[in-house]
Amino acid sequence: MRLTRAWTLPLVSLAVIHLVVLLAGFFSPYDPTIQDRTAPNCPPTRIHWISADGRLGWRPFVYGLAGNGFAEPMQAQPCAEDQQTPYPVHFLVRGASYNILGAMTSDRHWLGVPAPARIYLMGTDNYGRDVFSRLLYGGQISLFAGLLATVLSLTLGVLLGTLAGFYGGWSDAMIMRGVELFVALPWLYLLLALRAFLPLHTGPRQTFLLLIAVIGLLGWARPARLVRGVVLSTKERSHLLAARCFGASDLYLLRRHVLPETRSVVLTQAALLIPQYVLAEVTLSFLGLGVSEPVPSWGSMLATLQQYHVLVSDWWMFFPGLVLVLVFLSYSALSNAMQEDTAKAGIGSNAFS
Amino acid sequence: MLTSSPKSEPLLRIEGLTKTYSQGRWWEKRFEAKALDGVDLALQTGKTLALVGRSGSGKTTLAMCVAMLEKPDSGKLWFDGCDLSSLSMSERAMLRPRIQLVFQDSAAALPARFTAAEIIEEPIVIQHHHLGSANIAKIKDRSALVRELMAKVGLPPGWANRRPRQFSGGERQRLAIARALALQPSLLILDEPFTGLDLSVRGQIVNLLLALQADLSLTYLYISHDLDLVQHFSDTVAVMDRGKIVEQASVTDLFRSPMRAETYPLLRQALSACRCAHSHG
Amino acid sequence: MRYLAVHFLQGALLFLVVSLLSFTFLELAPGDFFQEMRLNPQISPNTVARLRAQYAIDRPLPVRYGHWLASALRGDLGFSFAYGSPVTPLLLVRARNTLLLTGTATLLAWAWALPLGAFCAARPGGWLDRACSMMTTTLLAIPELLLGLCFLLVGVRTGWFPAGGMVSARFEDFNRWQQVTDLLWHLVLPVVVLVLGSLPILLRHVRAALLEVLDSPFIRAAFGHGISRRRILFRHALPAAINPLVSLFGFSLGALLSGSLLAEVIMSWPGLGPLLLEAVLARDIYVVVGAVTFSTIFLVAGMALGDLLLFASDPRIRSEALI
Repeated sequence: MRLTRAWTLPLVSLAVIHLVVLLAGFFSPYDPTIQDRTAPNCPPTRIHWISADGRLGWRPFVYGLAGNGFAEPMQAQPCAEDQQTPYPVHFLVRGASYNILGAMTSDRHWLGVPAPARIYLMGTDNYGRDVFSRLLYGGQISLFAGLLATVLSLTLGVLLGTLAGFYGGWSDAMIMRGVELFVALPWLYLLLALRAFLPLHTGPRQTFLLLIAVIGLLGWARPARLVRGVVLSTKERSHLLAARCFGASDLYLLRRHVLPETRSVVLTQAALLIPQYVLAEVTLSFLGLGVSEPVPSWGSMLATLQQYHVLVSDWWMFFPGLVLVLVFLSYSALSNAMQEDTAKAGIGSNAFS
Repeated sequence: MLTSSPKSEPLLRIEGLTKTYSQGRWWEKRFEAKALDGVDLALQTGKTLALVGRSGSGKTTLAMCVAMLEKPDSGKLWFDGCDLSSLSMSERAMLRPRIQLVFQDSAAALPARFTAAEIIEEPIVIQHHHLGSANIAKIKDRSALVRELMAKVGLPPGWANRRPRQFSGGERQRLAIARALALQPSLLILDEPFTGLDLSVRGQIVNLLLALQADLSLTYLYISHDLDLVQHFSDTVAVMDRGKIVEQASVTDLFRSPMRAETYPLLRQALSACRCAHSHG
Repeated sequence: MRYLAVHFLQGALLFLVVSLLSFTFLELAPGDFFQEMRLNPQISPNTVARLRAQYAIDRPLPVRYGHWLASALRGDLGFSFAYGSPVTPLLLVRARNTLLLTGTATLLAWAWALPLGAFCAARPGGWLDRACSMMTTTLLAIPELLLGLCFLLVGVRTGWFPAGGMVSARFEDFNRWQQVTDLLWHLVLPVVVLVLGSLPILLRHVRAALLEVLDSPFIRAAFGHGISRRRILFRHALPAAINPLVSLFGFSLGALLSGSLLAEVIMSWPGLGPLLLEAVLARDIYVVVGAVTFSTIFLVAGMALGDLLLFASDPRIRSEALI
């Protein structure tokens, strides 16, 4: 797996997105749950470089919003700019404190403007909450639910697929029937039903874990089938027989000879499953079955677009969708790169593989 | 069969070994294949017994049974006086290092992802897993052993970090032999080890095996489907057909006056191959 | 005939397993419809208790499942608490609406995928192929969720298409012709969303299957005979590539009921999807169980039909089965 250009672009973009989302506290100017009822449904704050008298400056600045008390609310829209005083944008400012991964606390934010102005990079929603901050925190939920559900699915799939392929017999027959059952089920319907069968109103952490469990447990079938295929073809090779001759136990054979062969299958499945599972979480949240308010999730943010006035006038609410598309494109480029790699390896190989 | 050997007791003695393979679930008609149908064989220490027969005559099955990779249905197998069927699992595990197998297709028998050093030391690593922490060989000792074995089979020790696909066919087979020697076996089963090697390489491997036999007093069970190299490489020949040993004699006797009809086509094939100097496999 | 028997058994087994699992899980879940109802301050607890007794919520699980199974086999799938009506007619009406939507979308998707895929495969690397490949990659990266929202926006902004729903408010007043056009007008946006969602994958499969066939010697022989490219493509290559495509078609058929949930919810199309969602949120047990089992059976039936079609279309499979 050499780092050719086909790999680097998607890997870098995914790494950047995940890093930013992980450090949501640092990169988001505001707390995602704080409501600003004076400035709801505002478009993204315009960042200016040219001052009122036409000079180009080094430091960008913003104007205060009418709703925040800068102009007479009766005369102007709450989201209109009050062009009287510019407020410079500072970087690495102190703001509300947050914690990183539950371990460290900090109160430095990437950027901010001095109070009482606000910088809403992606506008506000109908409660006046900063969409950009909610996007980052919501990404934590959506992206990591997808990742963890994939880990669950793949672990189950590798375990059951190896069991079925290596030992055969009854375990194989039963697991294969299970696979056929799970592959035949209508995915979204079952996800919905399964989510329904579990408590609807629980705390955010429990819901998060529940989502991961539900999504991950439904998807073990296809990886299991592929892993079983690899295990079956590896099982009969002479180097396993040779190892048995030296007195190797089953566990040793699995660990040293069989499982390394499954690595490429597992990686390709991971690249395929992660975006599907992220989408599953977003869909469930969209339908109201995900993590409940006030914890943000990309799905619940997109769900507001079902309201007429939001759909028609608040175009900035589409941003979670855009980031989702970016994530998808990256994963699809990644799996394309993997496919090309395996194709090249296939051409280059001969009787040795 | 009877030669002037210092030990009167054969290293390996087989009596009436049978094995049947059956396919099919319990509600389907079973398809049975008799691989071994009452095999009797004796192998003297320090000698080479060639087991010859057409494909499907049961040679590989016999090798598997001797190496304890398969369990025969009936019959007795004595190794160095021990009756293998009467041994417990742990006793059999103790005996494993003494019987080793060199496979036909070296490319498949050597794990592609391991380095040469890892391949050779794998038997030792596995044995130490079994024996527990009491006898763990240090890494330095292991690499010393690996280098020694590589030198013994004629491979440059500097190649210890290469992977099997970087070796030629003959070199891979040397690697396989080195691995088989790691546990200091008494009996080495060679299952058609010269397949796919061209003539000059075959000669080199044969010489290597003969040298190792003299040096380490090894006993060889050499399995082949043609009588080509048998002349140069064995003391006794046993001809196998459809699961039975049909003829067993010393090499010279067999080539001069074969007794059974099954041996004729094999002999003819071997002699014509010698003339045409083509490689088999 | 063995095919049919095997699939029937599989379907029956699936029916039992899925319905049993659904029932059990719903039983294990805390809260039921009446508990949700109790949260509503307008309904007195007496009414709730009376309704509970009426619907025999308090009988043990195996008894309730047994009753449900017996009546399900007779065609009666239970009672919907939320709608206050039997489940079966409700499901059937919604299923009909869904099938109207997905049937149209599936037909259109295949009608586009087959020729497009064929032309792409005929000249791999050509301008059409590259354009289709780019379109496919882009579309695959856009989830159906977003597509639905975007097209809803388009509909609302331009006013060319209705912003959801299946029929206009004054549907009953229209005459036959107007009713049909009204329905079609409402059908456009959801169908576009569904087609754009499924077209990329179909296109890829058709192209891949045809590419493999076009490499065969018999195609080159046909060329040598002077047969026109178009004829070769559609009369010789496509039938040979039909095998994997028929299985895929069977899968498309099976997904007719269950594949359009998101589109229906976003576009407010009164199909099975929104019904299931409402039932899930309101814990309307029998509707959930009925909808899930119904769509599972449909999926299995679709795949069985696909296998049958394969049997009918590929002479090699027919002759193998006779042996």
